Amino acid sequence: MALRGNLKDFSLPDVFQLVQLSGKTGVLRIKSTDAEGSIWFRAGEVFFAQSNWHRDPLGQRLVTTGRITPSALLKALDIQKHEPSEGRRLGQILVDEGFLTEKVLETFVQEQIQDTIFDLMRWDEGDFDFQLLPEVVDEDIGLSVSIENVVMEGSRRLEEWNRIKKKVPSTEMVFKMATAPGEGTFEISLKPSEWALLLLVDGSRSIAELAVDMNKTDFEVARVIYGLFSAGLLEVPTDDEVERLRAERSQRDDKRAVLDAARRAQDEAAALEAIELESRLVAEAETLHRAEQDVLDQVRAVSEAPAEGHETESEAPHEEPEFLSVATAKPSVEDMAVFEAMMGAVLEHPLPEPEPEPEPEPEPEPEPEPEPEPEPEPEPEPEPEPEPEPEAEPEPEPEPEPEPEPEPEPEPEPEPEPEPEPEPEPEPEPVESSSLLTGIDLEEALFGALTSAEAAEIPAPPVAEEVVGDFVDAIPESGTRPLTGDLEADLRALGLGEAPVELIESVQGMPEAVGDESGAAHDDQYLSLLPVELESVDASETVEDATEGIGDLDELLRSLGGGADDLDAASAFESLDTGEAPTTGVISTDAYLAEFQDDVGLSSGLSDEITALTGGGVGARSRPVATVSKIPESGESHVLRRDQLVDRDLVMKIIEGIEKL
Amino acid sequence: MQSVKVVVTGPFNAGKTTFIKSVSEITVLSTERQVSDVSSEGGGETTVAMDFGRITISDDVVLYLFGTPGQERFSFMWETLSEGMLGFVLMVDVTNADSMNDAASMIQFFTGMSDVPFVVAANKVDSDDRVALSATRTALGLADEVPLLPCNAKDKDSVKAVLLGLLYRILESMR
Repeated sequence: MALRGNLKDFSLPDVFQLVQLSGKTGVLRIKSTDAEGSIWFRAGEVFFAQSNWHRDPLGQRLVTTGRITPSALLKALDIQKHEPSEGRRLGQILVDEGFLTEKVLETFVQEQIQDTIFDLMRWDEGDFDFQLLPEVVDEDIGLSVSIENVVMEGSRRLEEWNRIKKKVPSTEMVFKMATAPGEGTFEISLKPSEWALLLLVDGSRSIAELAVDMNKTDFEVARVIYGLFSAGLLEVPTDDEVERLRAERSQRDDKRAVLDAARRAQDEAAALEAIELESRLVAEAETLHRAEQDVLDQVRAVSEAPAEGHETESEAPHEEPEFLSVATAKPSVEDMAVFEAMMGAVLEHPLPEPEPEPEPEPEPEPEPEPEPEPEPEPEPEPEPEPEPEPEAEPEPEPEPEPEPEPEPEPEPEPEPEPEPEPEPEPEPEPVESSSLLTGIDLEEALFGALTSAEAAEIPAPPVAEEVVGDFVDAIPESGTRPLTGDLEADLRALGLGEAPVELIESVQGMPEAVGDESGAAHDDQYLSLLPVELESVDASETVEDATEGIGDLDELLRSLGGGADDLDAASAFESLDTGEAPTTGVISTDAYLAEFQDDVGLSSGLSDEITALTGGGVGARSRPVATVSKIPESGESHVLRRDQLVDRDLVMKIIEGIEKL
Repeated sequence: MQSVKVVVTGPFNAGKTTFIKSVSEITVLSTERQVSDVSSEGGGETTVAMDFGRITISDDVVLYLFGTPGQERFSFMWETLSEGMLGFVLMVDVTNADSMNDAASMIQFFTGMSDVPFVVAANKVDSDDRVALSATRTALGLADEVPLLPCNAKDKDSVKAVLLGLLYRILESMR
């Protein structure tokens, strides 16, 4: 028996309630003039929902949103194929195989269902049709969501949506960046997701297009747009402008496509060239190898006659490559100087573990033999099996030769006397590398300790000139502050990462939280962790803690005589509670989004897990301040450079020398 | 006398010491010790300090080869050994699939630390084994422009070919 009706007569929550109470299993299809959606129930609970907005199967969505890799999905589907008919669900397989945690999967499913049902709940009209089905397996991954929670969440979002619609009436609306986002503003303080959206807002994309580009729901995007628009960072372009900007974007896209094609062709040509070079070298190596084999065969043929009576003894030397059987020269004094200089540099670094004991001295064993022959090299061959390559060196073959095992140090260790002439070899810098290599101090390893001079070079956020004096005291003494211990927070401090739930919560309480000391301290840390080369786009020279002294928003609102929602762009700035300091501002969307509940969207679902993984605290944290920084030039991070004394001529000379070897 | 330096690196048991011994004209100075049982990284001896070999190019130029220890726990030495190098050879034993991850990490480490050219020497592979070479390139995530050269570390000419490959790369980078 089917249940049919119209949304004008029965709202979706009513239908949901009916299905839930009767504990039915089946699918509810909803159709409007230009769209359709469906919701699957198992014993009265929702386990899958789909609308025009998102049609991909759940596994595919997990891939699209980066929860699992495509190969993980393929593997899980393959496993599922081989499961018996009543075998595990896809979700369970993904969890069992370790591709996903149960918590993440659960949250993901819940969010997907919520997003879709909210999408459907916004329809004012349409026909619905509930069909009983004995079993729905295609999309069932073994998780379900209580319909009550979904409806409650949907209703809450509807309320928010109605509020958003006042300023963003349609998802077809186009916005562009404001040309003058407010006077007296010294800082734009936005969440990472807001920055990400702001980068895409170019006066040519509609909200619906932005949602597709960002792989988010139109509700999520509209919500962020609402905040940005209210804060004065966005404005609505005229139709002509949209037309022009769209044409420009299309031109840019075309140009980019041409450049991409050219780059691809170039890459392919380079790859071909590399393959050719590789083939040439391979051919060369082959020829040389064959020539050598011929020579060896000849040598073997010549030496076989007299060696008849001593087969076993002569075998090894004959099979040994010629160059290895020839006694090598003893290292010269200059060689030893280079060797010892390098060894000395290496040994200046303590080993990370006490156990390895890789010789505290370069030559700790003052060999029993005073002057070791270079001969010990061709090992005495204790190997019973006469392998075709009785090579002298201790080539650590994985299994066949566990090593001739001469003695721990059979090497002809040369005399350990310190060399008089230290050789102008490129010397390592022990101090620099030790700080990098000990690996004990995480902060130093990642960022290096900042000296006070370096700290002074840290670029300042753009600050109004008149407040300089008041904030000079806030300049940090040195840059050696510790990391917060919260990877996520630290990443955000550098303008990376997603905003977690806790952050959003703290942001909602921003008027009180912003000014407190812990918030200031956090930002202070972020400031100190910025790489020295970072440059603010503003040329201001002042170093100042950006959040220091940010005051209570309520005070400002009261002084302006209006509620947060009624503020125009210019009045959305958060005031500075600096006593006698003049009032300057920060553009942020907090005032406009404060009344909305938790952020929605897929990213929030992972916050618990990320917090657990990164050891982040659960308490309120100050919002990160994104600072526009210089993009590091390529190669800037390299700490070692090629020997600059070597030029092309020298390399050519070396090539000739090697060829003659 | 001008000396230049080339570093030979690679995971444990890749054949670095053999590689250097194959071309060095002096007895290769190595400081080695037995790997303890607990390491379970393989049998035999492993280099825990460095290998040092020399090739005299001419009266006034000498090429030094420095081999790094393969285990990551000795990575603290890698940077020191690499100071001033002209380029590096990353040795990888293609028959040891487990070492590919280590090799990939080492490439990342060295390329992150220095901008010098490098080549990858695929040890223990036949020069015509295109499949193995291609699989190695994929496993290491090597860019197309990085030469992946088949190599037999026990064979002097093969080692020479690898060194020449590196030197041509260096020459190219100086354009």
